[in-house]
Amino acid sequence: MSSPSAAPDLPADSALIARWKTGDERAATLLVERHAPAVARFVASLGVREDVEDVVQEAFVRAFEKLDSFRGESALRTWLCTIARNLVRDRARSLKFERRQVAIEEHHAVTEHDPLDGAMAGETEERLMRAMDELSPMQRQVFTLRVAEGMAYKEIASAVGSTEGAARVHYHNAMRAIKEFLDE
Amino acid sequence: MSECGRVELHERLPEYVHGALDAPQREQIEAHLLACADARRELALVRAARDAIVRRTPVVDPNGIMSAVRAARLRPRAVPVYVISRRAVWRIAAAVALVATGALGYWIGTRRAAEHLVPDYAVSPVNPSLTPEPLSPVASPAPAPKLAPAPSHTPERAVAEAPALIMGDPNDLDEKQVGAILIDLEQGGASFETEPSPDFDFGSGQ
Repeated sequence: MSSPSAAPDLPADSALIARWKTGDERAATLLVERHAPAVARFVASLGVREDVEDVVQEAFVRAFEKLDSFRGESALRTWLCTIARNLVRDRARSLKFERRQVAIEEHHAVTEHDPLDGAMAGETEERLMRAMDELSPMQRQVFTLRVAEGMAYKEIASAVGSTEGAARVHYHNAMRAIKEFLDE
Repeated sequence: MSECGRVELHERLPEYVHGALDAPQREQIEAHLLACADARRELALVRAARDAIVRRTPVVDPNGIMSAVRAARLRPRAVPVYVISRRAVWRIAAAVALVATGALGYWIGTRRAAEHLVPDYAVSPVNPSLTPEPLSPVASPAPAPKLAPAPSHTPERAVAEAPALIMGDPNDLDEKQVGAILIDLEQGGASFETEPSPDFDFGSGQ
């Protein structure tokens, strides 16, 4: 599988990283534009709601600070997702953040699937999102990275802190669970 | 996951949706899609899920992220704070006290030694020419250099008599004696405790 991060006519991540290290800020902007939406989707799959942009922003700040330690063994997007996951985990450890998360979860329980929203997005999409909400956290993360980003299992395993085989099983179970939910 | 049994094809559908397959793999999937209703349904599900996830995710502003990156780059790096345990503090304090005590003892010891120190050539002359002549009013009526008399190893006498040698008027020494003292000084064997008289001429000896 080719990297989903760059089209053939666009500069590769490694080239942009090299340009950023020489002070080319435009290269950093291109990297952000290329990967920020995917990182945001992954952060949302981790259960974060209103703080998605904050987490993504912090993930990029940390990533650029530690870019020298990025050895290119995985794709840059995978590395960014790993940083974001660690950030979410660290934030969840703080009692303050946990309380806010509870409040957010309660808020979304009321508004996330309200009828108006469902009518606008379509009934199928609404049911699909409900089905995804029923997945386990790991299934949801793997399913999001696989479906929304087209990531390979190896990259997914690295991003979610699991093994390639486990990621594959999680995806299959997630797909089956969603099909069953939609068939009910 | 697939009712047709072609699991390996079904699980490549996400890559197919993202255009990440090479041409042969893509053609293989497309051929299977024509024949398998379950694959078509799963493909539709993958596409719908991808679109739903993208639509539902909050939009992030790349400019805001870049502003934060820029600000972080300009921000001075935090100095790491090292937390020292209470036990370590006590250990450091004990070590400092030990070193200070040792230094103080050494200083006191060297001071005492300095007080009792008599220049080598006063106690045991390095140069025989510096050996003082016996003080005899008959043998040496001329003013003799006020060298220390016989070696005196009692500290009290050394302290009392050393100045008599060192403080003596260098003009009273002859050229040979002055030369010997200078050689001795060069070799670090002795030192003047006071500066010689400004008008003393080492060259002439008088």
